[in-house]
Amino acid sequence: MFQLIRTKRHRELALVALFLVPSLAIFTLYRIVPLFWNLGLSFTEWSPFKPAKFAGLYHYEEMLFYDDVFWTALWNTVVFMASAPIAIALALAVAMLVNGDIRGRNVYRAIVFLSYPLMTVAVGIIWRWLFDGKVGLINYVLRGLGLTEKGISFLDSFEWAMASVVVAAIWQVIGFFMIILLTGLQSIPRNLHEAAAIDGAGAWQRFRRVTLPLLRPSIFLCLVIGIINSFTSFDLIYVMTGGGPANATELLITYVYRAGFVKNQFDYAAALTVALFVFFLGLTWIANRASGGDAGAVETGE
Amino acid sequence: MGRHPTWPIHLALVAVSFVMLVPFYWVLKTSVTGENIFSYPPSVVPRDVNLFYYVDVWYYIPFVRFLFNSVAVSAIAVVSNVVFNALAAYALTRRFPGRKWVILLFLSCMMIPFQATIIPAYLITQKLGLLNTHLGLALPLCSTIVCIFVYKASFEAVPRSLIDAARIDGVPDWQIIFRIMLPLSKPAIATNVILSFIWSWNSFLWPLIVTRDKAMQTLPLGLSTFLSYLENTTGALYAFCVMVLVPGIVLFLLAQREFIQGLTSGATKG
Amino acid sequence: MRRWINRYSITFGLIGLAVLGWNLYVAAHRDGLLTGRVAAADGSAIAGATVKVRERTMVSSEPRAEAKTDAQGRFRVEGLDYHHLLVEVEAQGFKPLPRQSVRLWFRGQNRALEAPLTMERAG
Repeated sequence: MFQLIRTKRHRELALVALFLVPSLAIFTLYRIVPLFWNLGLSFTEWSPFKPAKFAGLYHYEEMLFYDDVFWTALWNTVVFMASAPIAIALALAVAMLVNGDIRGRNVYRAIVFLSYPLMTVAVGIIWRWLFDGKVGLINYVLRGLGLTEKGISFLDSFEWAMASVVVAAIWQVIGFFMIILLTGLQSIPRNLHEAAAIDGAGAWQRFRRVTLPLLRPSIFLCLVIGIINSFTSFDLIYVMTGGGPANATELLITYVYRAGFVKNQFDYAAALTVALFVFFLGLTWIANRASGGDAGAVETGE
Repeated sequence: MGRHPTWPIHLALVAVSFVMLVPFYWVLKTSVTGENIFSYPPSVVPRDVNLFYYVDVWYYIPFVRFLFNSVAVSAIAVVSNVVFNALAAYALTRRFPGRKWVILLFLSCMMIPFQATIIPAYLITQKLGLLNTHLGLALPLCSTIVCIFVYKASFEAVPRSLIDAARIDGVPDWQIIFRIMLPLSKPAIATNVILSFIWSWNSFLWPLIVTRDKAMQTLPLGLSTFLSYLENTTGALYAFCVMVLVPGIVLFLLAQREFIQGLTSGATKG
Repeated sequence: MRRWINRYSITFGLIGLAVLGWNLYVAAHRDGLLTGRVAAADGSAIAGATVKVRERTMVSSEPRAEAKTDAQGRFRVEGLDYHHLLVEVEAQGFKPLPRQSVRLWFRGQNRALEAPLTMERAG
């Protein structure tokens, strides 16, 4: 009898474990195997047309010592990431505005959030055109204000291209940050503010001493999302600048794509991917430590 | 606390909304007039409204085909996410040897961004013979870890007595999932649907790599190829933009609360 | 029944109905006919004028069909399976009429040009 229950229970558990199979298969196929394959690929000399050959650290040497574009892309990724605090500050301002007890706040929230779930490719095309040197809305405004005579080709200029892409990226993500921060704001107990006010703290004091510290987890969450975005924002760059002019907006991810799928250097692209991954892991680890584990492992993109 | 006037807040929020909405307005306006592309200064109010740019786009590109591809890929991704993730999450709520390891594995998989694996992922898809197919486009997105954990949290909130009672009655596990767990986890299902829909619908890098024929292009890919052979100055491009954005906007307006909840819990539950 | 009426079913139902209605309308009106009248500046009909129809494609235009006007100056071109037409008219003793753009809502839409194509006498 006991035996029977045991085997039945085992059979059940085996069945339950079967439920894991589809998901595990997909993760194995598209996360785990690629990770190791990628590592292997980065140590070989490989192209779609030739048999593979062991190459040792050749690709890494080339990447670290001879490839300026890699360093540019790395730097640009950092710059892109550095825009997250700006986006968070703006989003925090908006979140505090819509947190109050005002009419139509749900409408405002929806308007600000609307840009986030939309297709980034379309967003990129819209912004590419707003920034256009001849027919872009932004240049119309600048000319109307008399700030420029001829119009600036933002996306073709070495100085402006990155800033322009960052503006578009902030515009898209700000609604999402706003919602996250809003959730954080709403979890702050009201009486804390009231107590601080009774103690004679001014608005700014209350913001610094009460709101900001209690918002820490939400802010860190936004930061982590910002870090992730800087590694995954392929669509926007591809559509708006294609990494140009002169690699001014090349991010690591766009460079990986270019090396692998435009130049067909899969092996070198694999080495770049390893660098991207290591850099990514390092940063998320730091962010995690800094937040005291509040932000956790987060994934928003695909 | 004294009552503050609210108009400064409204003023600030109107300004913010203006900045957020102007790009949409400008695109919409140009797609129905095409005029500010050629004239300076552009008029703010649309003149000579017509929909002919939409007609042009309709015939320049196989829009229905792109739409069908996008819908097919998203449908595969959404359905398999809802089902596979529920199965996996249910398994994780049961005790079995090695459960801890599986959770650890999932958590570490979450640290691997898909973008960091595209090259071998491409080679694997090639080996599977799935390049240029709907299944190949959808497969990497068919199960997502965040969504599994969203389900898991929801399943764990279902009273244990309910499940135990069902089990004593001899209800098989898969029926427990579909008859008891899922009906009690509607918000988790909504989150799964929304997240997998957004990811598959907006996905661009993967289709860009995997797709070979024009006939297999999804909407974002079709849009970017359209961009590559048209000048920036064509009203048709913006008509296409609107056509691509409208389904997303309609869905967002219909299921606003679910969208916001889904995306936030996708970011925080991880 | 009640539970099937919600904002999703209403929205998608209306979209479906609109698509269906539009397709029915298109199916009933797509014979590719273009009709109209060619007249001189004083309003008198021009017989025997040549009406040439070109298709405006994305980058250029292609000649597609031709017709002659009858005694009342009327013409009728058939089988135009295009959505953007360019119409030009030539007639003995008149200045050739520059291309006029005729945009249609769908390929092969039947279209009757209300206003006569007015030509000026040469010389």
